[in-house]
Amino acid sequence: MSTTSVTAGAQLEEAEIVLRARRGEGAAWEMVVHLHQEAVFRYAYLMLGDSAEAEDVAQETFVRAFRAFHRFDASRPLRPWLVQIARNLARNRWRSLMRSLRAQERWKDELRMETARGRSEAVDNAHLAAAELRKAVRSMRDQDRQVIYLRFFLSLSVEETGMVLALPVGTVKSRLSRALGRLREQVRAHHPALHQVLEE
Amino acid sequence: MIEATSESWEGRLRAVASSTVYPHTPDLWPSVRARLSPGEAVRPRPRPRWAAVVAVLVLTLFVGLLATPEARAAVYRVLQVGVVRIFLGPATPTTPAATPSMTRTPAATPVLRPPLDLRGLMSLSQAEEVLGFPIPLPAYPPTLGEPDLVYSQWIEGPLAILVWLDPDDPTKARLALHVLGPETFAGKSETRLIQETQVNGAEALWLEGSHYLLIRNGSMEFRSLVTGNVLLWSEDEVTFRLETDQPLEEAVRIAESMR
Repeated sequence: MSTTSVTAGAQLEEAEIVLRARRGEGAAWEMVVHLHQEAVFRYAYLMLGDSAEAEDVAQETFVRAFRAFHRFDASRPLRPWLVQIARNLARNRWRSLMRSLRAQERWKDELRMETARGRSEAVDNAHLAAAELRKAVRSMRDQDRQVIYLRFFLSLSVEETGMVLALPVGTVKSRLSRALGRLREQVRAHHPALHQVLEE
Repeated sequence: MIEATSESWEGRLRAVASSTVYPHTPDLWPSVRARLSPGEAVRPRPRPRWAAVVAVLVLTLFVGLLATPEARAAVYRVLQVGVVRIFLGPATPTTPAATPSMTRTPAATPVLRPPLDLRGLMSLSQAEEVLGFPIPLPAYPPTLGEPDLVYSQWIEGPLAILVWLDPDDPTKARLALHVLGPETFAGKSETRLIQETQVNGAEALWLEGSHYLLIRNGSMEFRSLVTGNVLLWSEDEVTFRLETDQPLEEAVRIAESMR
């Protein structure tokens, strides 16, 4: 099977699911949730640093998406649209200072939990580097964080990243380039272990 | 230290980011469904009033069709084997398999050309470590041996993919076995049920369809690794999905030889 035919197949698959969901088929809605809940939940978790908050945002994302499904442009991929809704919800939630402070405390606990979960030294090292990277990205300004989360953590394409951020592709590329330059400096200056992993 | 080029630095950054440990993604569907008002989850967009008359007539016909089990099965089916839930739409004529493109540019590493350019290439023992249990291997055919390629991915839970390459053309897979752990979920539509069957006396399905996989470039795609059919069965909370170009009888024989 060629890459082209597989990609076309995947698009047809999503188009069919969207079509069925628009017709009001509950099973198609369930498919939409199951196909995209991980990306939406993970994005919300990256934004908020707290699994309970992320679950609330992810749940609200799908409820709002279903209620606004008739406005979704079916010629576009679904995931960026869902992540865009999650982004708006997560940003509003983050604005509550008390909530964010509590979340940050829980986030630190969860980071500690994560580092204790590894099964082998190699896995531990990879997870530690990832946790260090998240720490470095979290210290950056929101504009930089967003492009890095979407491109490198959620593996969205430049086009999809542009759809989430409502930016043209060229702007995404230039913003990403500047953000990566700043991240590299940040890692070099403040995260020596991660710097070694990335530069070796 | 010699600094990495931007390209290699970004590649490593992507690899590090992909090792991020996230909390387990909860199944959101039950809570989402509960939050939607009754009937909302199956409510289409508002239609003109005159359409209501037509809708009633169609509904009457639809209910009549549902009166027989055969008709009900033809309208919609959801099957579950292990952790895989299959959404079967109305039966449609089988479409011929897509003709492989002849214009595809060969990749640098022949054995990892599409559809084998998957993320998470590792050893069998590493994959077992990720899944948390030993992976049984088919003892039939006797010459099969250990898999040539092993991948592990996290898609709604841990998943291992074992691939045996075609000895006559090592760029192609002759057999692929997906092993899904008990905490994994896989929902599938656009899957065609060919036949219900059994593996070691347990319910199994013989299907036509692909699986959602993570590709090396970071995208997710529905892919079949072998041009053929799929045998799906479950044993001791582990779900197996065997892709083969062999007929059903051979697929069952392979499945039942797993030790």
